[in-house]
Amino acid sequence: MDFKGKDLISMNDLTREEIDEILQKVPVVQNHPEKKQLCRHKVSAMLFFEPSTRTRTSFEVAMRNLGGKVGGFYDASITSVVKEESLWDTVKMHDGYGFDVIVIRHPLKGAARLAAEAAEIPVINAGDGPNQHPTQTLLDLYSIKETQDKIDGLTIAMVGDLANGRTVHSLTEALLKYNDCRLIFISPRDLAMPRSLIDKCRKAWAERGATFTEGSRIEDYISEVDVLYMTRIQKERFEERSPLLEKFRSIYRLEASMLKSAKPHMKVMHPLPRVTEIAPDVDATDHAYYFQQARNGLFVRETLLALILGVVR
Amino acid sequence: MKDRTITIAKIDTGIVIDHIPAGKAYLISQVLGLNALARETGDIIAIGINFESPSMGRKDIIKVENLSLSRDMLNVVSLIAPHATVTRIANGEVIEKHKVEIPGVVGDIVICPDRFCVTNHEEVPGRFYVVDHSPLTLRCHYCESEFFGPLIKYKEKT
Repeated sequence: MDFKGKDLISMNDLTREEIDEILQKVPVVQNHPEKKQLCRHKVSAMLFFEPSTRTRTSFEVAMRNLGGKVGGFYDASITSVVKEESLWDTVKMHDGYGFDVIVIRHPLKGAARLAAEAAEIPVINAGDGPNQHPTQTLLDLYSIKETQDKIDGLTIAMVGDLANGRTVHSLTEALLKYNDCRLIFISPRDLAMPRSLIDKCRKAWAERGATFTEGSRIEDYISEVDVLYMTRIQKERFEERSPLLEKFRSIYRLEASMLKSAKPHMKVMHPLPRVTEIAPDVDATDHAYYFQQARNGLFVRETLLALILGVVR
Repeated sequence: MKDRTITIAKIDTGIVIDHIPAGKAYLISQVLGLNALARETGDIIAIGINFESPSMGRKDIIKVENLSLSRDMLNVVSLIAPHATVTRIANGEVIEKHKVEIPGVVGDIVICPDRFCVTNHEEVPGRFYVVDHSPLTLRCHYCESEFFGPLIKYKEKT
């Protein structure tokens, strides 16, 4: 498989084989003897139409670790966008400046796909509104595989706001490409996984043996899971000082004392930032993996840049 | 019931779209842009609504003089009228009759219902994949939203 020159817009564009190939290349790039030289003459355009801390920093550091440079903007309010320049034109312009790859984050769904159509050079989607954030999903999958040695057949629970969480939607769709996964969706009923995704899970049962359960308490499943994927219950989804927000946050909170019956290899993951859903006392347990997971984001993004720029095959 | 025979504008050359569910002919003519076409060409376009039909009870029918749309273009009719038939007529003779087929891809005739979709903010033609036939479900090429039923809204060409 050759990823040189390819766009990375949506997990839906990738087959299981392509995902596996990317994940296999992560240690290759991470430990490459000439890593610092790989992208020596390459420049990445960072087109950040909305703020981001982790994704932006990790892409920047990733490019620097490969010996490349970055340009672009991180605040659309200082660009011609405020002069009502279209996304198409902004991308076209950067496409002509001699960059080798574009990394784009935009608040609108589908913006990255449109950017990829405007640009000759490859485009990496670093988040298009609530739609896709494929590098996050790939780093989640990498972290799962790294800690469990496989993805097929795992039991993975997702907890929190499953209605609005982009990461859990995308992760669910990706896991449905694997065989015999058991997915457990734990959320208040108001924040349950969307029906369209539940339908996809049902269809995947026949094709790949995937099963799913919807539950409402973390404690009921803690002893069965290989991965506990926690998410934040976002304040902005609730009205000001809503009693529900506090209630949900107290129910969907993981504390170290709840982990006693967990399997020894069970890992707790989280896309970060966390608020109250993982108590600080979990950090000291062997189950905590969210900071390594975030660090994996750097390695996965290095790998994607190296593959798409064609410096590693 | 009183027998009545109604004929509408017999055409010598053109296209007849028949077996349209009653009340949908006007929407189809809008999606196909027949109004604009009529203005441009001056050709006859006849829209019949609520005709009696043995198989459908009531049906609509559209006749367009001198029109020669490709099968692909006419297949968009299937989104609104899945059982419609198309008859092509040349010099008073039927030269082809076929059912419309649901296409795999739908072009810029539908509006993405997701208000956060880039197509609702930038000037970009929409593109949609048909992911299910029953109920007809579309997926936006850009924002990847899937939608069906009343959420499928057609662009009106005036």
